[in-house]
Amino acid sequence: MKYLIVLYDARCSFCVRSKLWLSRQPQFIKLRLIPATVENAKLYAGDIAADDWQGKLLLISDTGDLYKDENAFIMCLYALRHYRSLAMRFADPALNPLAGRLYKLLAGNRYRLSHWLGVDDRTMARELRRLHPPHCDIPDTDSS
Amino acid sequence: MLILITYACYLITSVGMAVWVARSLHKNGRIFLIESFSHNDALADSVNHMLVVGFYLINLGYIALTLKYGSKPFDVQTAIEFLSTKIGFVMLVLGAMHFFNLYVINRIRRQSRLRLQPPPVMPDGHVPSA
Repeated sequence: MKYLIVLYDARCSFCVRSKLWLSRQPQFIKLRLIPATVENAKLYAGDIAADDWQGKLLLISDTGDLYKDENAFIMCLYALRHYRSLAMRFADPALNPLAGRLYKLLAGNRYRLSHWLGVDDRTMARELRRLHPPHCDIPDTDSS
Repeated sequence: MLILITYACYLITSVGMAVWVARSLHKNGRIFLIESFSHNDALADSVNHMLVVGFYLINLGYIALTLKYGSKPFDVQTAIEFLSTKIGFVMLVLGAMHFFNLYVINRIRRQSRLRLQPPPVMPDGHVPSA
């Protein structure tokens, strides 16, 4: 596995903070962090995730393996050098339900968490601009 | 004269002990290091050699530094006590260094094992065009 594409919710300030934290961590597997939009979900996750990508953390490996929700959460940790041992523990049947609950708690309350653990407005504005790049409406001069 | 004999005994015993521990670690730690460095023999031998050099420097430095400390012996009983205290401290330093080395090498070993671990969870699907 060479890299993992991470589709994250760029409208959520907590997710943006998590994304910035992920990008700063030493990685065993390169993480390509991409904002989740309809186009990106279709482009990277194909038909499988096209319908139910919203509100989910999605990971797609370079070999085409798709991970959703808590599995994606564990795979994010697996990609990081300092957190791989934690990922192995979370994947263990004894701790896996706990990891699932932790993920659901974080993902379900991500907008609420954004109030306390979000990023500053300037960073958020930059993220949102990436999500909705400004259109450049040039009048079609050829038709005249 | 007694103090000179005590110093000589101290130096011979502690240096001898440091050499024995270093040689033992060098010999028995090699296999452990080779596994830690993903069977890279050259790297393991190089680290092993550097560890032994560091081990000698710290221990011989400690032995040399602590030679003059402590109340000086004036009869056989105090000479034995003097020797026992000094050698006891040298043994504790050797032991502490030994366990510290083991801890560090074990961390490296764990990291190299982790690097080779396959993904811990099964994928939820497959994207053919990825």
